[in-house]
Amino acid sequence: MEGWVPKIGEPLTLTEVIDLAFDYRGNTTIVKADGTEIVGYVFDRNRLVSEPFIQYFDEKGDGPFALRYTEIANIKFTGKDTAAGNSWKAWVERREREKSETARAASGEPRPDPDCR
Amino acid sequence: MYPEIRPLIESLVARKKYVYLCTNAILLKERLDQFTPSKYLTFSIHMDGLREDHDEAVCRDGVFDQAVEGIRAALGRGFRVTTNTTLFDNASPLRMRQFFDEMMDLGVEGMMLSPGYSYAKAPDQEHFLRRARTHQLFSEMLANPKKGWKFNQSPLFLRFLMGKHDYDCTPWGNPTFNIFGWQRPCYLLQEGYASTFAELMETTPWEQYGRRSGNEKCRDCMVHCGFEATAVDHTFGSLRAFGETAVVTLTGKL
Repeated sequence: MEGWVPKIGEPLTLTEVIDLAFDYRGNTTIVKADGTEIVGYVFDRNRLVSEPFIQYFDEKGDGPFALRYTEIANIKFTGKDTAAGNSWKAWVERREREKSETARAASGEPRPDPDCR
Repeated sequence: MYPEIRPLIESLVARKKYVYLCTNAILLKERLDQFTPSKYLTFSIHMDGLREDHDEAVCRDGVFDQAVEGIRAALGRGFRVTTNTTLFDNASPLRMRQFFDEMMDLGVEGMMLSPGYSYAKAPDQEHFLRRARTHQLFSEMLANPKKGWKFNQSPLFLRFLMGKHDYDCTPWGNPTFNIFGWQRPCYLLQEGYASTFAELMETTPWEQYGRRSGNEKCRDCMVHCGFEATAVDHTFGSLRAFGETAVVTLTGKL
């Protein structure tokens, strides 16, 4: 999702993009309806109230600030996804790969060529 | 590490609040000088099992040994130390019993256990504990508990995990507060924040959470943050449950 610039419309709604930004573990760039942009971390969204809003800290860490959904045109996923590659599954796969490489090096077996078919 | 941890702990202890400071203990040994032993302060060390199991659970080799060093150092300086352990589907009852022995031999004051959070739509399904599997694991692990094992939690919660009680969640039982505010509805589900505790309690649709609500995110959850509160409420809500707790506490038989 890092680097993604959503296209709001059919089938992706702004509400869905805001939900994705809320789950994203990194900074985003909030594009306001007037065209101005804010870089920050979206940590909350509330769509159960009469005027749905998001809350965010800006990139300096100031906040929290609130912004109504009606003031938002889009949200771009511009910051580094700090959760990417950090799952338990990714770690186990990495460790298994390192183990097999160590074993291969110890046995003197050459590293397989990924381009070799 | 949180930069304000020292004044935060000192302020809470000065108010005579009991603090369980959860840590993976990687930096504990070198940061102990920042803290003062107190009956109000307990280090709760995250330990998910024996060396191999723990290092795998936290995705980093060597963490178990660092944590053990931290525990020894803290105990040596007179701090209170407990452990907290999250169990997933690959947990072995036999190895967990060895783990309990090892932690008690180290000298920790008590151990806290919980199954990991299970969610029907979570991607890593194979490692989540489902209810029946949780009952089986905890029944085998806690059968004939050794007298030396000390669990720092409600006996009725442990019996719930063994399948001897049927509880629902009390999602507000262990509220989570962080820099974003009061997390709703609970420690595990992050569905937004309230700016005050009163707002959390009054505006969260609690009826939408807990197993009996039908919420699929709650369906298989048996985690201590919601169910231990229910067990404690049950303990002090009926004479029978209070008596059961007393018997378990006195006999050590779960």
